[in-house]
Amino acid sequence: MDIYKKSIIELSRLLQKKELSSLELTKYFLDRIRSFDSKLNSFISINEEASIEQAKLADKLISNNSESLLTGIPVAHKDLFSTKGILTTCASKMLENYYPPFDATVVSKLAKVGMVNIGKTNMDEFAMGSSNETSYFGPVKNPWDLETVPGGSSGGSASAVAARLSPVATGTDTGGSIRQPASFCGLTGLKPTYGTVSRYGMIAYASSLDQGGPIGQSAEDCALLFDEMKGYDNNDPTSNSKFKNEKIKLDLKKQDAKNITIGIPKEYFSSKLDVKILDVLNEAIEIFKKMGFNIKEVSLPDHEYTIPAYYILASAEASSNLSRYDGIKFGHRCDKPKSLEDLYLRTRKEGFGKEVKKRIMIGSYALSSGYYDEYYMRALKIRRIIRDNFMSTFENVDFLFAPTCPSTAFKIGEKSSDAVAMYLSDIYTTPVNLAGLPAVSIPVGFSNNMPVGMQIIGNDFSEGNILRISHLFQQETNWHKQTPKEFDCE
Amino acid sequence: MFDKNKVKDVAKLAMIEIDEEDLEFFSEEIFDFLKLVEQTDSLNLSDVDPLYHAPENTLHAREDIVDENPKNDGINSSPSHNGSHFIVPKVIE
Repeated sequence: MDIYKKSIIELSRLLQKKELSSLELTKYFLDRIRSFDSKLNSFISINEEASIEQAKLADKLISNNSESLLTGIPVAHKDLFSTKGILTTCASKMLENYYPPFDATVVSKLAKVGMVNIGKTNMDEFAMGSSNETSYFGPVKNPWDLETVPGGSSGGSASAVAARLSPVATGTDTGGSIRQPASFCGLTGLKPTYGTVSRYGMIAYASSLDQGGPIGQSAEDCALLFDEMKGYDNNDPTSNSKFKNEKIKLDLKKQDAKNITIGIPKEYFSSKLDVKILDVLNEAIEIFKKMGFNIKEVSLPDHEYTIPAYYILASAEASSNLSRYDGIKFGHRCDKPKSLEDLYLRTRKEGFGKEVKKRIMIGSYALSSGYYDEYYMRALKIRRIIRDNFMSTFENVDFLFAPTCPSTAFKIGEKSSDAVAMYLSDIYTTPVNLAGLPAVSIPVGFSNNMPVGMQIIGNDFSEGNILRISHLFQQETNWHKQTPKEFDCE
Repeated sequence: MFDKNKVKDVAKLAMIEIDEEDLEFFSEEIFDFLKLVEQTDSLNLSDVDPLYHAPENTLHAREDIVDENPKNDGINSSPSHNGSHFIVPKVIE
């Protein structure tokens, strides 16, 4: 019955009506992973035994009628969420044998409602990358074209959900790492407002930017997962208590659309964008217009400065965060160190890949005496300008449209020798992270048979509204229901 | 220029040993990146305040409570330990 195509609500109904057990559902997706993942490399580890136990527990909850909509539904976690006693590698040699002694808050929250953790997904090493090519465990393939990248850094999560190896997955977004892979793989991905999803147990890359979020087929699936991921957490000092922790109701009606104005930043939809992608985005915007939304051109200047500012700040924070990998407390240690310094130097040489080393060095340089003001402080000031520009724009419009990426998924290896070109592919996603705002990427069509995504960006804590708007669009379109041919079978 | 000697200096700050044959790679990559950053030189930022977190939020701290019987299971993750102490190379001769 094409279980792999079903939404969370459809699967949940089958579970609640006892037409399907969580154990059967879990085994079904484990089988799909075994059958298909050799083509994709989207998982680093499969959680076979523990997921079976979790599924049995979920079936008990369901038989006691104490279930939620997510009870018994499999989920795949990006391999930077700490999972107690389960291998957590961050796709790095540094952590290839690391079994955390605790669960990340996101992991424990989803387990608490009875979700089944079927495995840990591949990613760019320490989330540093936009193509999933920096993983120690090898690149991930895009199910829409196995010669192309799935995006990154949450590339394994996106690839797995697109190939329907898991109904939903968690990801993290520091500069676009949920939205860009969602776009490349034809999925919906939400980057929440900074501070809404706990970072406790998320292996840190850039702490002032990292934010966990859902990747799913639809806005509806993302809303259901996000509802259980979010919430104030005393264990995360940057957790924000200002947002209302209510369940999201996807109740926006077409007649409400006339009261909503969405801005199109002219700088984002310029001739610099690939013309085919621009056509697809304009067609999607026409659908929004027909649905009754007010669409208005706006100006959002200075976005060209976000890439330098973002990579300075992220690298600076990474250089500090990754100083914990010293070969002593956990992770890789070099063989036969001659001294403490030799231990540090060789452990970090052997444990980190080239991209990670480069970013740690850039960050160390930007924070070093004599360069701090020139690089780090200037980047923080640019961040203020980017945030202020968004806030001024939100005085005139309720939400913003933006491309997610300047291109569709590129070929594996195509940009790996040109780091700056790779960094520039994050040009439409990084401003949102610098400003701390929520944004969703939704599939809006295809260009050369590859999916194209578009962002809807909102003001602080407007996740509910951007998901409502996305859901309304997905009632009118079926881009989110497409499945890559090679994986569109039982 | 971000030459090979500069890479060696920064690698020392970052506590990462870099092989001689990789120095050129990092020199070129970091140089290219810093050229990208130069694009921001035209911005006058003298009157702009830095923004550390967005949305701005007061960081909260947990109560400072002494745990008399701490769970010491974190030590099991160490590549070298004796159950209660981390083992490191001799620091003092």
